[in-house]
Amino acid sequence: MKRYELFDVDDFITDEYFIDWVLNPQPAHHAFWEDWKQKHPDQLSKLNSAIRVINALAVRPLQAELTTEETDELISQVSARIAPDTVQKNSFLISKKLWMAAAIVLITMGGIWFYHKSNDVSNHQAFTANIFKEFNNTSTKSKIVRFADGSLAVLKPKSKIKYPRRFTGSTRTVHLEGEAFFEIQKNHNQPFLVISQDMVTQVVGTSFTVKAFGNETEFKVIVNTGKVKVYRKTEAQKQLEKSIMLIPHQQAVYSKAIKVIKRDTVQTKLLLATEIANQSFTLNKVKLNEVIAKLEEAYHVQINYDKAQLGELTLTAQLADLPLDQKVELVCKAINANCNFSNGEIYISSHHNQINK
Amino acid sequence: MRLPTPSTNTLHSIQTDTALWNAVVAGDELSYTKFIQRYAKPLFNYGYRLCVDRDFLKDCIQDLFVDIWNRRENIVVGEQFKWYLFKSLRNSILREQAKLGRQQPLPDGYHFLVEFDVEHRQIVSEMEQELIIKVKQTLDHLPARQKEILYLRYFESLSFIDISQIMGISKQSSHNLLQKAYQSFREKWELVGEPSVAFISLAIFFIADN
Repeated sequence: MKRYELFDVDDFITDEYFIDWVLNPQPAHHAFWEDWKQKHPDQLSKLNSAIRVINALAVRPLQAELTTEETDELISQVSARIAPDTVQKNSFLISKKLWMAAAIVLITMGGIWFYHKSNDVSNHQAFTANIFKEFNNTSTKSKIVRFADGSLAVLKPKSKIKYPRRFTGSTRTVHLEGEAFFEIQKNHNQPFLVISQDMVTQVVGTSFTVKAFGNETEFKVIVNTGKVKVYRKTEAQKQLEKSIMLIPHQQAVYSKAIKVIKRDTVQTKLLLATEIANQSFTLNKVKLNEVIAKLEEAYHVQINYDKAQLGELTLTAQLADLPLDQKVELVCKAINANCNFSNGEIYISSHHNQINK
Repeated sequence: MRLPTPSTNTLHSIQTDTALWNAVVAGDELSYTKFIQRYAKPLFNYGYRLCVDRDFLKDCIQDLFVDIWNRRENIVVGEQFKWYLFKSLRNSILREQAKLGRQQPLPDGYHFLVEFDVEHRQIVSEMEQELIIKVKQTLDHLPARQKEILYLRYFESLSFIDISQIMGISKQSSHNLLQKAYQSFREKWELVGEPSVAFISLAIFFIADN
C-alpha cells in the first residue's frame, strides 16, 4: 500500500493510480480517494493545488488538422490498394531517374467511339470509383498536370485528363479526352498507359502527344522520343499482333471507318525530339527570356515571369533529357529564383533582387 | 473539482468498437471505411507532431491502414488498438525520415511538436496564475522525447504499458523517462523561480482543449 499521506505534490503526479483517477474516473478509484481524503485532511490543499494547476494546462490544438476531404481521399486510396484486383507493388516512391528521349507518336482517332468493351471489368469499376483525380482544362491555354511518379502532361485547351493520385498496381494508367503532350518517367516495372476511349497508348519512358477529341474523326499519337505501343483496348489480349510500335518521328493514325491503325512519318519539326532538343536545350550563357521562349515554343505552354526584372539574366545549364517541370526547376536554380506550378500553370519569381551578369 | 474531458481528437476518447472491428476482420470494406474515418484524424494529430510534412505524413498513414487491413486477423481488438496505431505510425515515420535523410540533427533524433496553453478560468489566485505561465514556458522547452512522453501520458491518457509499446522502450524505462521529464522541468524551473513554488507547479497534466 502506498504511503500517500507522505506524498508531496510531485509524487502524486507520477502515481499512475492517482492520474487514472483524475483523468479517467472509475467508481472504484473514486471510492478509494474520497475515503482517503476523509482520513487525511492535511493533504487536501496539496491535492487541490495540484489538480488546479493540472486543469489549467492545455495542449494547444494543431492548426493543420486532417480535413474531411483529405480523409475521404485517404479512404479512396486505401480502398484502391486493398481491392482484390489490385496488385500491390512496393515502389510508390519512384526515385527520379534519367529521362530517356522518346519518339513522339501522334495518333488521331476518329469519330464517335464504340463503347469500350473492356475485358477487365474490375478495372472499369476501379476507374469509375472515386479514386481518380480529374483535371479539366476549360481555359484557352495549355496547363501542366504532374503525376505522382514525376511524369507530367501538358494538357491542351478543351482537354480533360483523369489520373490516380498514386500509381499502384501493375500499370500507371491515365484517361485522356482531348490532346496532351506527355513526358513519362522511365519505369520498366510499371508501363504507362494513356487510355483514350477505345485506344491505349503504352509506354515505358518517353515523351509523346496523344490527340483524341471525342467529336473528331481521327485519333492521333505522335512520338517525340523513345518508343510507344498503340493498340485498341478491346484487343488488349491480342495486342501483340495488332498493336503498332512507333519510334521517333513516326505517327500513327487510326480511323474509325477502316478500323485500322496506320503508321506514318511526321514531317513537321519536332522540337523535343532528341537531336533537336539536345542542341536547343544545351544552354551556354543564354538569356532567360530566350530560354523561356524556347520552352514555350517546344511545349506550347505559357510561362509567367517578370520579363523586365528577370529577362536579361543569363544562365548556363543542360536541360535536354529532362521533363518540363525539371527543366523549369533547373532554370530557376540557375538564376536563383523560385518556381511554382499552381493550377496547371508555371510561375517564376525572384526571391532576391540581385542581378547576375 | 472539475474532471477534465478528453477531446474527441485524442485516441483515448475513442472507444474500441468490437462490432466494427469484427466486421473488419471478416473482410467488410465498408466497415473498414468507418474504421478509417474514426482513427484518421487522431493519428494525423499525433503524427504531425513528429513530422510536419503533410504529404509525407498522409502517405505513412495510408501505408499504415493498408498494413492493418492485411494483418487484421492477427490483431487482437481491445487495449491493443490504442497503442498499436500510434506505435506503427511512429515507427514508420521515424524509419522513413531516416531513409530519406530527413532526420533532424538533434539529441533525440526528432522533433516533437507540442505547445502548451493556459486556461485561465481554472486559476484562483495571482500566484497560481504566475505559476502556470512559468510552467507552460518551461514545458515548451523540454527535449523531444520528454515532451512526447508527457503528451502521450497526459494528453492521450495512455498507460505506461501502452507508452512503452509506442516508444519502443521497457515499462520501467517509460517510468524513468517520465521522471526524467519532471527532473528536467524542475531543473529548468529552479533556474527561474523560487524553489518552494516548484513543488506546486509540478502538478502537470495535459488536457485537451474543448
